[in-house]
Amino acid sequence: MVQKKLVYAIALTVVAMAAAVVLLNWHGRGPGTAAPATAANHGSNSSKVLFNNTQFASFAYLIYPGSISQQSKAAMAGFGVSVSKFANGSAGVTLTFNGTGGSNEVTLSPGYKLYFIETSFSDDSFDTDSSLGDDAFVVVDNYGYVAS
Amino acid sequence: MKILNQDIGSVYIWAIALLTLLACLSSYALRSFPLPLIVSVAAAALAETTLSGLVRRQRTQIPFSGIITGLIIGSVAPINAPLLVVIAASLIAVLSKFFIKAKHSNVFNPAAFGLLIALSFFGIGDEWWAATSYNLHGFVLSATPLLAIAAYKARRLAASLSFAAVSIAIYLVSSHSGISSVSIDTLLFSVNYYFAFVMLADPKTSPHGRAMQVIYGVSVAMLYAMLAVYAAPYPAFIALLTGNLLYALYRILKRHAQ
Repeated sequence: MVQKKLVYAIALTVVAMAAAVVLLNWHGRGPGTAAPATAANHGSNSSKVLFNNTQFASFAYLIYPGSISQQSKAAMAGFGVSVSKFANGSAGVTLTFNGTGGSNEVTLSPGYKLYFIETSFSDDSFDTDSSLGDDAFVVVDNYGYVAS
Repeated sequence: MKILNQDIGSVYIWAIALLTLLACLSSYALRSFPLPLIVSVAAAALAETTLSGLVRRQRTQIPFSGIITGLIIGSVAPINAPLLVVIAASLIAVLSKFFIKAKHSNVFNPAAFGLLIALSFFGIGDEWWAATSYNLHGFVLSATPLLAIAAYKARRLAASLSFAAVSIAIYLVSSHSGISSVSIDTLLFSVNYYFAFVMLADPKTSPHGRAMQVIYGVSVAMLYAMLAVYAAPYPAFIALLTGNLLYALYRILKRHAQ
């Protein structure tokens, strides 16, 4: 009797979790279903992806242009950022991971935006970042498409 | 009212429901199927059932504690972690629960113990993916504070809240900001609530009395901060397991003194 209940409980837990995930991912929001761009007036961008249609949009914090908000600073815990502006209007943004000193430099054309992606603040306690697995940065062009 | 022989108000039912809810919300937002989470729940539940029969000679029962351990492991390890990692973490966690004991109670938080060993062995970071935070029109939001219900049910809210208060204070000091210059959302989410309300609030490895809970929460927060600032790996797990160990020693010394 108890064994039966155990089997039921484990099965129920697994099925409920799977069902919840599947149901929540309904309406075409399954893994890797970021919608490709369809805007006709952006013919050259037809193979690109609109940033707002990606799963990253909800976790994106603007780094450049403009001043960095408190939210962006919190998302970038453990990282340092420096910006250099060039004569042709483009900008070089360098992100440095304080833990290792490793850095990435991105050159942004005029009108381009740089976002920091942070899915969870829980690994960012005390102004450090214990895991880089949930961090990334995305460059978005002046039409809102993912450039890199 | 009962669910699976547990009262509806049971800490087990609340913890399982809340952890599952957070995992579902986060996997939806991340558009990623949490297979490692499902595998870690199954592995921990199966290991606990087997060991209960072999070691404690207990009748087969629903392994609520094992399910919670599996949910925590699957939620803290990366959502795309290799299955071997979460299975190893789950088995180590359950083994520690049965074999590392003081005064008939396990010494270490099983999930933290299993995660520390398995993640460090495989060189993988702790991502806390189920504690997802969303940027909603420039305002940071997260469902993790809901886990306070689990800490309340476990009667460990004092430990969790003192941890949160110290975390916020350290954040303010370390960011060289006054309260007026920090946005409320970033201040609130500078705290690892998943850690505070679930792992720190484990009723079997944390103090019961309110004053002791406050000392425990403050101590773990300060150690966590110190380890994080000095870039120690896995600061959350090391701080918690150190707190667990000190509390177990305190219990033993208190017993000898009586």
